[in-house]
Amino acid sequence: MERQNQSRGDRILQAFESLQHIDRRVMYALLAIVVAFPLIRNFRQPLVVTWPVQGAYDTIEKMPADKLAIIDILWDSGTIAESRPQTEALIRHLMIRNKKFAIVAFMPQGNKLAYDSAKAIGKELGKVYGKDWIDWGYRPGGAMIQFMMGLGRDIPGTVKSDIEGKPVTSYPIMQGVKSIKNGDVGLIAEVTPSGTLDYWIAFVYGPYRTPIIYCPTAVMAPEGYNPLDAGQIKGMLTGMKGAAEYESLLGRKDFATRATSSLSTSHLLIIVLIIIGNIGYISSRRRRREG
Amino acid sequence: MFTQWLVKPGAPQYLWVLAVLGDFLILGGALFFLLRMVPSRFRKTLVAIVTFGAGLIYSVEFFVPVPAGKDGNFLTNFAQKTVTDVVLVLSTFALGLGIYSLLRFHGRNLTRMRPGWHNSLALYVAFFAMLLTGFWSMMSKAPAAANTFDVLFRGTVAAPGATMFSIIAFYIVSAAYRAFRIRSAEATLMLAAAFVVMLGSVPIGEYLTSGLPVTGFWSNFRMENVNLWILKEPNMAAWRGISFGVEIGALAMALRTWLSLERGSFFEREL
Repeated sequence: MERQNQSRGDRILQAFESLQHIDRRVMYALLAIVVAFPLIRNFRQPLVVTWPVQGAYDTIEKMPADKLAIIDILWDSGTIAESRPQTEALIRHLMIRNKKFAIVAFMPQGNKLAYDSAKAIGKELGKVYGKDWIDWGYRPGGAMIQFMMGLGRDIPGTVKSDIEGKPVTSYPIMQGVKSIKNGDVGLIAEVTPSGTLDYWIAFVYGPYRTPIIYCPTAVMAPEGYNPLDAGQIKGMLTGMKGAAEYESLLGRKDFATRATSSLSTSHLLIIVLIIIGNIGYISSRRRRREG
Repeated sequence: MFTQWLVKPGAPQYLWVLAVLGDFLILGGALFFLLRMVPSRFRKTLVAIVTFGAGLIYSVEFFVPVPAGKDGNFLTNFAQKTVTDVVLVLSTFALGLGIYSLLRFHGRNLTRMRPGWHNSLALYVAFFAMLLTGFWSMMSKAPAAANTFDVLFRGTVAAPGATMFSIIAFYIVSAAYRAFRIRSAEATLMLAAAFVVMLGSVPIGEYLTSGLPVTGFWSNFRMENVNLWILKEPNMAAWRGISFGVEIGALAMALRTWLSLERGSFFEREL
């Protein structure tokens, strides 16, 4: 009887042990389902606005309307799911509040993607290119630092022409805009999946104290907390959830709000899989000890 | 150079394109020819001198004080305008060189019908399709031009780019499942922190503790606040430590490159 009980326990442990060897194709299929399902069914989830996002929102609210905001685009199609909603949320906010902004891209793909977004939102809100917003176009990443330093001293001389190849000085939005040093720029928003925030802090925030908003992808967010704590950046939109929080501040339910449900389900799947894997691991350890 | 001499502002765009190509071919060819004339034993020395000089401009510009009432010192204008233009021109040369090298490599694959030649053919088709529609959309005001480029850009550049990156999610799930095992006390601590950050980064995690008050002592235990505390306190301490290490390493690396002391595949090769 005791032997029978022992073999039954052994069989149970063996069954649990197999939980640490789930076929990866099963996991891939599960992930595909849990990501797609909320997007199709459009789940509703409560969203809490965190203080870094509120800080970013307040910075735009406080920016004087006669100053120019610069949106730095450092993303391309690889991070479009996170970076585009962030960019669009910022653009929409600036346009709603009638604040002027310029887009500058250090990634060739991001250049067009951000321009298309701004054009579409501008059309929706009745904003005019060259008067309410401008796109300075693409600048090679290799000359990023020189570009930032140049903006500090002479914006028209550094930027020269816009995305359409026309001199920036020919647009009404650029009239009176001389330099960051002159106090003509009220905000810099960096939307990026890479670690380039330090450049803006070193070459623009350091000498001129221009407020910065940081919009990294979720994996890059940990490096934003140091400058956030030091006050070098005024707010942060962390990945898609940051964009969703921003959308809720704007009273909208755009792509990020819908897609955060997929984030929830996929994170839950990872947690469940980790727990299952650990049940298998503990069972195998116990079985080895008993055996 | 030729662009400035030959093409006046307001000239048609195709003239600008031709002028830039002329610049690239004539000046680039001349520069390449001159560099080839340098005896091979002096080439490394030449590269070292140019590297040192380029690095020196920024170091001196940074350290020399700015005279009172001025925007910068004697090097500021040169460093921020002329050197920026030089960097842009060099980047353009690098782009041309990259395209030439890529097309040459895949051209050989195609002409010799090596295994995988169809991938090279796909590259050629994609490259010229984007190039031609890009120029077409730039020079023509016809809606068809912009639409064709848009369709190609969204369908064959942006969509695969996003797809490739999103595939990482599948590997992350698989890797997290295999890697997060409670083998030790440290691993258990990391797992607990990971759970909190994962849950605190999504709305469902916030929902779990939504019953707690928004202000006061108990609000500290709301998932989003615990998540932010982990990111703002322990994460920040660790990040600072890592940053110090990385910056010191970067400084050492920059000095080695600047002074041409670096050793390795490129630096020890015959130029």
